[in-house]
Amino acid sequence: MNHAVLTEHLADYLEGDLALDKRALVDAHLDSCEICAQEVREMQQTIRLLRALPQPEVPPMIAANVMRRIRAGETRPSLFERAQRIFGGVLEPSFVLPASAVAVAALVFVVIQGGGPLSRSLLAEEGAAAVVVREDEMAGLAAEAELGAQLAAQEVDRTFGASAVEETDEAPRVRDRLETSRESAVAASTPASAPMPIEEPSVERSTGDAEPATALAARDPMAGLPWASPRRRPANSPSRRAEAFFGNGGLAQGFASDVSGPATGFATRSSGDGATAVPVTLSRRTSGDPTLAADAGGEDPRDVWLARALEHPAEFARYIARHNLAEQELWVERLGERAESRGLLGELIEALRSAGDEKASWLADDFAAQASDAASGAAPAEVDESGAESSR
Amino acid sequence: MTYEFVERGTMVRGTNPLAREHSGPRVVVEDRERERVARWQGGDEKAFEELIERHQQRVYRLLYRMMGNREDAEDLTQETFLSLHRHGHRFRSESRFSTFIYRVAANAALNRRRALGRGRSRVEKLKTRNDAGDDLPSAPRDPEDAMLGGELSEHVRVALETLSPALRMPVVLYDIEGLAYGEIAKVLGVAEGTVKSRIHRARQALREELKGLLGSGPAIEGI
Repeated sequence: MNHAVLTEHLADYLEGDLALDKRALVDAHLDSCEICAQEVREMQQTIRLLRALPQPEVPPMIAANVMRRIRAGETRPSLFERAQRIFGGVLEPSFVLPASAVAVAALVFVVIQGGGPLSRSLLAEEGAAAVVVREDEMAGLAAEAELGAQLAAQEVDRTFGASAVEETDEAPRVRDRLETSRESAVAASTPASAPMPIEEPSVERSTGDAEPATALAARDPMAGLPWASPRRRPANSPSRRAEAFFGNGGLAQGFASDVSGPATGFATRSSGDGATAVPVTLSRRTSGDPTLAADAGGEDPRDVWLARALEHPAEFARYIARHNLAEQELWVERLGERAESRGLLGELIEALRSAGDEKASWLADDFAAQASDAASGAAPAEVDESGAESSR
Repeated sequence: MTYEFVERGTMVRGTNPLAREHSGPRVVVEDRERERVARWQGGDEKAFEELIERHQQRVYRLLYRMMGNREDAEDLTQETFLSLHRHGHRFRSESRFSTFIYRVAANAALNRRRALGRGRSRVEKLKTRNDAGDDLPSAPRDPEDAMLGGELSEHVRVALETLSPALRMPVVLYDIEGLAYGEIAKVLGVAEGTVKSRIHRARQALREELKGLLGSGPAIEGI
């Protein structure tokens, strides 16, 4: 056993999760290697310190204050929220993104009469499927609902271009569409222009005509990457947040966590003289964690992302913005490190700034903050030190 | 407290002592919890108040660790329960209520951080906090703190704040709150393996931050 093997097993060793034979190997190594033994001791102390942290006392009156605010009406839903409850996520622009990815620019309103099946289609001539309205309850809300539909359509238009909105489809059964839109989005987002097939064991292929999907894929450089999330809704969209809070469908469905086992594929990287295929080998670890472990062997997956970011900064920023803030920070940290080590950080920030996109500009700020952190070297430790001093 | 059973009885593997401490009648507690939630969803506001009483401690503690100060933690604890009251009709008892409420609290913390501004680096924020002398106790606050050494625990608290939320949240939920990997995965919406690797990375980062203190002095050796 050597240091590398110890590092691999350290987490399990500390938790007592290591199989006995491996544990014996680790113990034997620790007996002979003072450096590793010291590391293990320090990790154990760190864990003990964490677990011995005193718990803060809960301030009194929280329940009373919350109940007072509830009685004052703070949690009463607005008219629009009540509409949303009845429509579900259908009003949200982000809901429409999966559907638009299959180039069916449709906002689906379902008209339920007394809880019955679909009764009428309001927007079919525009390519939308149908609108289901509970007529007895919805009379006063129809105007707001239509406004929601328009906003959603505009969002689709902004995101994918007008061509995607023009595409029509025969009106399928709405319930089927709701259920299949996500998988269809995944299938359609496979770039038809990819020079080599991408091995995606868990993703269905599109077999139909893919013209609009091709157009879409051309605008979405992340589409078709083996570890790309099959979910097309932004991570911070209202519906995703609601799902994260309240739904169960999304529980434990991490970032492409359904990709099982190592996957080998090719990411397209376009350059001045055309697209080239970059071989990428992914383990579950690299595909499941956006921290993009660099030690998986072979090419650092972050390089592919960096190339994408430099070539398509706005799309890249939009992709990153789909994650929640904590995930975004990890992306920035890990990609920033890699960009810095390759001397590309300045170029990356510049590309993002000049993309003319608000999200790209935010991301540029984040990378710049990361750069200043890195430039200040041991700054965090110094600050901690001073903080500690001031507490004495 | 009885509700502790809900979280801590689930530990299957691992040696997290917090997680193994209790392995009591979880099913009974869960049934009572479900019944309480059902009463509230049926319009009984008294049941909601009971839910607050039962869960405020865990919510507040998590938010305190995530926000680093008591004012924000208290404010966000209230916001968490208001949000729960506003949207809780969607909870369908398919996951545990405690997991559900942790999710609401975790997202409240992340949203607040977003509102605080994206451009500020962690170092700047930390510096500001330290300059303001925010919440830095000058003496041990209680017997447990005295045991750890108020100064030492302060170092740990500050070190925790240097972690990004993506690393801090899982390590707080695991090592401080005693949740199992699977529960944390549900709270954060990531895979269990991701939770595990982040906890390890968080501990490594903390070890780096605390390096000057580790292995030195009787206070820490005795822990």
